Amino acid sequence: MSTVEERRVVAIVDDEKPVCRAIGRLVMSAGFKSEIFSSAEEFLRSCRERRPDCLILDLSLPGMSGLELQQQLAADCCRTPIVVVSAHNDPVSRSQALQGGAVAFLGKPFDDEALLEAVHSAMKPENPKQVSTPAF
Amino acid sequence: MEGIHNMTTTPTTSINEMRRSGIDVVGDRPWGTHFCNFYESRKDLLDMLVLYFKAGLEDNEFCVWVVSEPLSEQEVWDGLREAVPEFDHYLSKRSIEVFDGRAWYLKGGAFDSRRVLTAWDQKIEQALDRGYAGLRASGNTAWLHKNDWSAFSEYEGLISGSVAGKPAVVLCTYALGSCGANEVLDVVSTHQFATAMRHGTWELVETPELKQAKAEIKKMNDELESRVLQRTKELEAANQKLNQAQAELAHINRVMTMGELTASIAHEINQPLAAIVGNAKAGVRLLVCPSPDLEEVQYALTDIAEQGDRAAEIIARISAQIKNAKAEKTAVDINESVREVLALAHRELEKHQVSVRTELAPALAPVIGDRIQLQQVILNLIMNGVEAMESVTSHPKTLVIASQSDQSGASVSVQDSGIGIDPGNGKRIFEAFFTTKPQGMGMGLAISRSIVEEHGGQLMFSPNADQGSTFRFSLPFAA
Repeated sequence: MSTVEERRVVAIVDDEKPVCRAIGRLVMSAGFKSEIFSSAEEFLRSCRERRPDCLILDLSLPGMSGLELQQQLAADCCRTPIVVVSAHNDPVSRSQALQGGAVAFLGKPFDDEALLEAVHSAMKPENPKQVSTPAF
Repeated sequence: MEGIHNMTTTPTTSINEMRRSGIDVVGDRPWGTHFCNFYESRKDLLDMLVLYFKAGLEDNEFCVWVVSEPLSEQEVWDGLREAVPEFDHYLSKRSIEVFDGRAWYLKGGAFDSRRVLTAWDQKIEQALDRGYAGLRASGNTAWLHKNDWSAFSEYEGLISGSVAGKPAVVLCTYALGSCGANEVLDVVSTHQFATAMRHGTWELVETPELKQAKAEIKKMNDELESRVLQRTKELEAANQKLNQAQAELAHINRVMTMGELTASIAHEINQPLAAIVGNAKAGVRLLVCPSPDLEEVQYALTDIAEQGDRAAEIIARISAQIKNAKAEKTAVDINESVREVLALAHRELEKHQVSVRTELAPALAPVIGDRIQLQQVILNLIMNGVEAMESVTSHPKTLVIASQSDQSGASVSVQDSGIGIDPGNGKRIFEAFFTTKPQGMGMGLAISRSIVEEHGGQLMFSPNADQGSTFRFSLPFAA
């Protein structure tokens, strides 16, 4: 087990706090440190100081949307891999998210194993290929 | 000051404004009126002109009276002074001028129509400059010699054109005794109308043109009125259609509510469910870690309990909403309800290329129920049928909607040729939140069944022999 300082950080942006905390606990159970944010703006403020190793992102957010946050991060040349988790599990949202650089797209409700698998593979630098699981 | 009118009238005047002529038989006439009078005796002439000018003075008009035999200027002044109250006031204001006919018409020795017309125009200007509403004039032709007749007749014709559109009223007087038939015809044709003393009373003689113009105006007015009536009718019909459309829209909204309700249930219930499932799975994973963070597991369990309560609250709220929706029970023609719902669902059916066949029992007795709620049930069954046939490509998508009756009541069946229902799910399809559709919420059939049962009926389903399913609900007849 690595020390707290060395643990990789997974940020979670979802306006639904209980869902956010559940995802946080899932990534904790996989040995990561979790940081939760209720809005894209809140995440951007924190991101300027320290970039997380992975971002789990909801698409429908108050204020800046998940897609807009993806665009903003791309413009800032932020290489943090993004796993999108969205209730809008339709082909358009899916392809928009993946084209915007997300490494994985999972529909809500999501499978815990599929989510952790996506997070793991997103953080493998040698394997940046996109993962898209079918709707659960 | 009593008896003096319109002293403060501003010079601005409408050209369509009616003026009192002061002569009973003539009545009120608009500005631009040019008429003539055939008199027999001096007295008739004086009496009529005095009334004519009295009205003009009282109505703030500048008056110009051109006098010829048989009247003298003195007689005119005396007549006016006798007839017009406060005449000295008008006199001091110089509201009326009296001229000798020969001096007025034959200035410079001969009759020059252009000069006389210009003189009248100047009088109109003078009237307006001095704050009068307009000009009231009268001329007499006793000075006229037979050899000047045609030139004067032409001048009379010019006056009509000249005063048209100007704030002026002009009355020309002719001695009937000195006019032959030709002259009378000439005079009448150059004026808008004539007054003549016949059998001791004044009569009005209108020119055919004026009669025609009046007839045309009447016709136009009648046409206008009928057009206004027609437009009013059209407007009323349009309003009625609008009201009808609004009522239909309100009705559609109420029928569609169930669809909206299930969509909002989907959204509301998904969040706590996702949190519960996510936390439960995370809790299990945290517990199997080599050194479990029990505090975090405790937090996860607290979240699960809270979100469970939240979900229960949402369900309780929805149930209350469904129960509280006041049922208004009346006699309902169920065939009519089917037709109305088909009209509502028309677009959706077309979009999904579903053809509908109806087999409605003729002369079906009415059932007792809430029309809106029953339509919600029918719409829900139709939309379920459409969705069940969504993936069908091997055969045409057909929905058969039938109504039947038996001794106790009526029933409606909706038969699709879709994918059918897995026999294992048969018992669960009416349960709340049970769904086999990727985007479904599992509320439609649950709500439908509770509506039908609340109406004292039953909602059932049976698989078809070949493909798809049939949903049927029964309702008791109205007593």
